[in-house]
Amino acid sequence: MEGQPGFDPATRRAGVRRTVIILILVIAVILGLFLSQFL
Amino acid sequence: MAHASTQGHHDAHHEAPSGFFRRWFMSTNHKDIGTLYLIFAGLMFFIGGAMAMVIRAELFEPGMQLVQPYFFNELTTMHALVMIFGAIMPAFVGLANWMIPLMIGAPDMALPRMNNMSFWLLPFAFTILLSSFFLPGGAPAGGWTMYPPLSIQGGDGIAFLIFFVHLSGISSIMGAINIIATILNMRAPGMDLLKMPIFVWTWLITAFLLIAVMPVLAGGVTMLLTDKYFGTSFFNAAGGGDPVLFQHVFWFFGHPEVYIMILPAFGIISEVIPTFSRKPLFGYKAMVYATASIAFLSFIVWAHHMFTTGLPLGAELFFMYATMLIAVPTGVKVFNWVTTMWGGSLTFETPMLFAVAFVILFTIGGFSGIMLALVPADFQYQDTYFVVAHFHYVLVTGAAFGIMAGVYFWLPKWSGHMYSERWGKIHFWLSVISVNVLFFPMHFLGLAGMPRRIPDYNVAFADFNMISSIGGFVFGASQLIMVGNIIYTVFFAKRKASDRVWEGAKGLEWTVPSPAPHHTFSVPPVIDDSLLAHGDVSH
Repeated sequence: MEGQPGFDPATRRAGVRRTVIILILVIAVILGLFLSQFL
Repeated sequence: MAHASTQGHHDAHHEAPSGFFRRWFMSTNHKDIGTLYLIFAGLMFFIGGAMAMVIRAELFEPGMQLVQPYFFNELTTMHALVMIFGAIMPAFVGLANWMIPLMIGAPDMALPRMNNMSFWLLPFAFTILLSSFFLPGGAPAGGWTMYPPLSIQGGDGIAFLIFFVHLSGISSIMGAINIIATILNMRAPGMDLLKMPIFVWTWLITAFLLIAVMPVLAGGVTMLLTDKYFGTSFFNAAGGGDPVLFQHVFWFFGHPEVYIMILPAFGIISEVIPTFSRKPLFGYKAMVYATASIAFLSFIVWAHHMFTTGLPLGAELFFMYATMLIAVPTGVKVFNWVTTMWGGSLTFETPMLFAVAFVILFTIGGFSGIMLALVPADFQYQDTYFVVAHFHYVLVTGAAFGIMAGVYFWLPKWSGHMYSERWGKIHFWLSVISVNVLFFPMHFLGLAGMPRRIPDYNVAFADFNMISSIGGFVFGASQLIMVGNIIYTVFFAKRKASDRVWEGAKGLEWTVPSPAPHHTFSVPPVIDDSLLAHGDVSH
């Protein structure tokens, strides 16, 4: 069924962008914690 | 399902791009990229397998037969790297690419262009790794674990290995980001998290593991690189460093990596067993929570790989008990699979045979894991063939059998044709018998004290080694049957697969035509709870 509520490409794109940013921040924090042990 | 036919009609308007280069090198289609991953994994499986054949040929009898000792060490190191990073992991990513969008009703992965890059990094990474065989100092020979100081005392192969780890790590992280972004944002309306197939759940959790540990491995190997080439002493005791530090860093990556290689297999088995039992999966939510528990515990058990390095007693006790705790959620899974089969209308097509073998043989690997978790016992088992037997039961009869079950299970959906059930069964029985002939005697060799990673051994170990090698040759040769069966299915088979393929199959992926059209779910599907295999639905 087309155009169901909750299926909006713009909302999806925003969600994907938000997820990717959060995950990259998580990776940055992990690398930061790792480096802080040695530098 | 009502939407299936309209779906097929709708998708028929969007064919694959014409032109070999455009379709396969520039693809952003999850199915084509999934196929590329699977072909690549198959190729690596046979390259790593060829190395294993040479290893088993050398160990066929005591004494030096075929290869020089240093080359033998190169082979054991490269066999592990190729099988782990080249065969098992890409095979699971390939299955994820193919099946996750189909299972959640998404038109594609969330980041299709990054998907292409994730894959195409791998051929370059492995060209770099495999080319190290031709360096003056040869390929890396210090074991896949790269422990210093041994690993940096050889030639420049280690630099190639480190660059390879960086490239394949970037590929894995991008793949993991893509999978998480897809699952969290691209599900069809109505496909709640607790309605997702278990395969999707296990991959979601695996992707988080990848993101958490791959940067740590990248950091660790970079420190190794600077120790060898730039005068640092992170792991050099003479310069104030600590070689054991590397082991901590490596296994903080390495143990979750073990679960990265097995959780998606758990997911596949959780799809296959309900289908051929014609029953919903027993304990769906328990399976999800058990997967999450295993993932959490995988972060607090790394030092069980290091019991003989002189850890404080308190640390050894902690890591021993934490490791044994993993048996609880793993037991939940095994009992749930058995309970799913209990009272079901069972049939034993090839995927189900591999799934049942998985449950039994993976459990044997789990039992030897519990033995290895015991600190006093581990002091005896450390670095013996008992460890080799343990992790091959987990990774071959576990991860690889899971992949084979998945390939036979989904191949009709991918290709539109049924594989040869007779040859599938021949492949299974040859594999399951030979794999036990190959790996079971290694338990006895280890308990008798045969060390791992040696090209020659005491004559006392001769008989079991010969048996093991014969099993290895048969197992290696029987994998060619699978390749033949896949080629036959894709190019020559006459018998068409129906959309649902298997009588007991449930879930969105079985509502699209077989073969799955190039584009699916461009229009989001209607989620009909009664047709989902698992989840928070009434059956």
